[in-house]
Amino acid sequence: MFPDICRLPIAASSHSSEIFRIALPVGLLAGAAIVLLHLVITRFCGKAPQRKPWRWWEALVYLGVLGIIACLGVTAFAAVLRLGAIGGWWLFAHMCGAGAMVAALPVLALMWADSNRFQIGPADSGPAEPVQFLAIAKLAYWTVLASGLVVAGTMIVSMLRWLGTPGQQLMLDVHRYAGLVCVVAAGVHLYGVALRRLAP
Amino acid sequence: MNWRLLAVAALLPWVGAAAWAATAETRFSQTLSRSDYVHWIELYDAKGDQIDPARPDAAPYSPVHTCGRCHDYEAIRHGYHFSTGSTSGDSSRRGEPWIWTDDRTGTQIPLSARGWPGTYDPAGLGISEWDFVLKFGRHLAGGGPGEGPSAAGDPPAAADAEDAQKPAKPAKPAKAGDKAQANAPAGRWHLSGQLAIDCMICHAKDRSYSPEVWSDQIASQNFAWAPTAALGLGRVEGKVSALPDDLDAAAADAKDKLPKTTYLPHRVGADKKVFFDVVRTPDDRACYYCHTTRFTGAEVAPEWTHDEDVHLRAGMTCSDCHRNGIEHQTVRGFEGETSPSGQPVQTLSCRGCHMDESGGGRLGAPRAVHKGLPLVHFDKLACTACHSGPRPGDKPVQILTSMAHGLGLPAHHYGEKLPPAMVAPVYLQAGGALAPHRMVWPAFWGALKDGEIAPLNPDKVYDALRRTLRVRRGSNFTAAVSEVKLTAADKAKALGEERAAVAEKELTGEEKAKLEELTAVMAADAFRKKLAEALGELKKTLPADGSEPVYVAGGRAYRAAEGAVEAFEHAAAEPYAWQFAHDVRPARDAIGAASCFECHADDSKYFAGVVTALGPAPDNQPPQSTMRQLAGHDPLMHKAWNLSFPGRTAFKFFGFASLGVLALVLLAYSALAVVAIARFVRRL
Repeated sequence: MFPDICRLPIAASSHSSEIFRIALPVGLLAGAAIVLLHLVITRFCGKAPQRKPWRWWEALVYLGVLGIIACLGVTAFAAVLRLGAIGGWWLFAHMCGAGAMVAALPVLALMWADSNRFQIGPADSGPAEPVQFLAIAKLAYWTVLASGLVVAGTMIVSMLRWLGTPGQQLMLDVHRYAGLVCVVAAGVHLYGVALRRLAP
Repeated sequence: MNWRLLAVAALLPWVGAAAWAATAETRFSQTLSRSDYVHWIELYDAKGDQIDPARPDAAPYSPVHTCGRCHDYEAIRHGYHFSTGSTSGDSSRRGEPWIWTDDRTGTQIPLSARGWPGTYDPAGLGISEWDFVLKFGRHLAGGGPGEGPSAAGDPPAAADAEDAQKPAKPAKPAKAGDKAQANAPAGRWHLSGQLAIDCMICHAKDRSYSPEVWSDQIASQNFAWAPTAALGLGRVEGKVSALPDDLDAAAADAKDKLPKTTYLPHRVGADKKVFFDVVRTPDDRACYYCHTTRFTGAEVAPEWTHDEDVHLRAGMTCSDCHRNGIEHQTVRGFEGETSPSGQPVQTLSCRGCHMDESGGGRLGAPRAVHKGLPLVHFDKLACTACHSGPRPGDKPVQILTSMAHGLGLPAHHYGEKLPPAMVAPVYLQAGGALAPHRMVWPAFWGALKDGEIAPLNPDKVYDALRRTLRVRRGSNFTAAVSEVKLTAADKAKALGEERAAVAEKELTGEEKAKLEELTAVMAADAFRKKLAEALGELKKTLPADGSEPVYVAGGRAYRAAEGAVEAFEHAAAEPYAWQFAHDVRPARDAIGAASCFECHADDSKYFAGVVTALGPAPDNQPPQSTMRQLAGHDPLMHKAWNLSFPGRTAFKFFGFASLGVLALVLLAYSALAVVAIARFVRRL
């Protein structure tokens, strides 16, 4: 049995496209499940801390990044589900979004890294400071950044003359799954922001 | 009942079957040694009788009965190279057709019995096996149509008296891609004998085999004598072509009239055996006789500057990839090919050998690394798109091939004007991937009915139009139909009265160009006038069933219209194209190896190269298409991609810088998180 388990990744690597087509809807459903679970859990939590207002340019950047991730997700996933692979105008639009993503990610990181730090341990005495993001949104934020680094990094490395076809295939596989994680995390983050804004 | 007798009776069939099987295994001799068997063998004639080479009336040797004593001729004759008259092997991918060229009528029509779309079945055009062998025998290996009408399919059924009185049904008009039924036997097979498969055309190891002699013998209709003469075993005196049709080959005096074979004494051993210097895997020279391609044209660099296929330079032979068993179903080596032998042949394709994870790497094939090449290229491009043939230029190069132009036989007329006009590379979609093709535009006289054009038999067209076209000996159709002589009035119209009187050598370049332009315009008019005449003449030969005579050439179809000629578009005028894979260039010389901009640029020859229709019909404005149009690409998409490419290098730098910032932020806050957790744990 153990040898069979060890052989699984090798077998999977030669069918990565087919496996991703199955993993894609599963991943998206998993994101939806996380959101639902959190909704249920928050019903039993106490009142959320006071909301820290957003500045106008923060909202602009946030919406821009969301739009870029949505564009990248739609162009990739819709093409994969409908056509099996991304190509033609889908690929071109995806590539255009990718350029924007590479520009937006460091801006997102520099703008909100501090606001997304977790409070470890009990808070100091005194009134609670207003927070911009809920815990789930913070978690999603760091996931977006980390997976975004992998998503962009895999494709930029592929553009160099470093990797042959097996390496390119590996980069593509990592890119696909990291992209899925990034899209799901962005969706969860949007939920967290919406929940925060809608909370009394 | 005696149980012993019963037991014997029950066992007997099994014993018999085993004995039969044992006998069947030894029907054809084998040595199973990798060392070639030394062939000192007796010769046998077409009747299967042993030949005494010393006799003055010795018959020519027959490969069927000589080679066939030890090698399964019946299996071999269905091989891919010998089955031009029927289908066998994997014909799913179009290949080079036989092109019936007739300079007298402006005909160049692609023929094939394999049903390839865009080709015509010879039988459907009324071209008999006899005609086919005489026309193409120079580059046939024998067998197939060379075995006469009985080999082309079921022989015509013996008609009874009643059927014999009924008028013969006309042959079904030929349509491109159709496989026609064999027509009634025609030819002088009773005199010429069969053109059996000549094994030595491929398997002769020494250089004694002469394809030129083979070709000459076939042209003389000495089919049965060709193998003997070509191998240099003997001299053949006499020509079947000089004999009358009604000569009875079986008559007593016929032997004196038929060609005489004299075996060369030094080729025959004391025991009347002959040495055949045979090799199992043919030498490349044998393959090159039928499979040579040459570039032609003023702008083509001399032959000595061209390199041979990289596989051959690396020490491989053609047969290393294009291999077969005794059934001679030679592997063509394209992706997705299936062999009728049932053996897997995927690893003998480019991808199978150089990239396939399982089974690849045969014969030490280096693994194709393709560093930095995005994976999407492997879906959109065939291997040959980057690695095969000449590099794309402003326009494809005109080529000559052995099959179409008779390369390998000494001649004075090889050049770009030798029909059929053929070009390469033209990049077209094939199975969803871009691949280089060779292309030829059909030209023929046909009958248009119900929207379909059926070609007419070329020889019958010549008979009908000989007096109208008046193509003189030594001239050709193009020259004859566009013959123009400028009168003094014509010259005066172009150059003015004063300059028109000047001798031609004193004219300026611009003036000469003007005269050439005028000549071209008048030639086109002359062509249309002549064409109208010819179509009118051809109409008289067509049945009165509404058929309309047409001429197809150079990407256009022409028909008579109110005393003149009009050109119209028709599928029959579309070019026929087939993929090619050789010569393969080294990896460093692949398209795109130096830079992505070789393809991803607006002026990339890959897409912007212009393909102009070529043909025997004079045309001042022949149909033209860009490679992009022919491949069906979206020009807007290409433009969009090309616009994005110049910024690629800068984007790589920007991307690394951007990701560097991101990584630093993640690293910094990860460190802060670790410190905070450590402090929290310490407080606990």
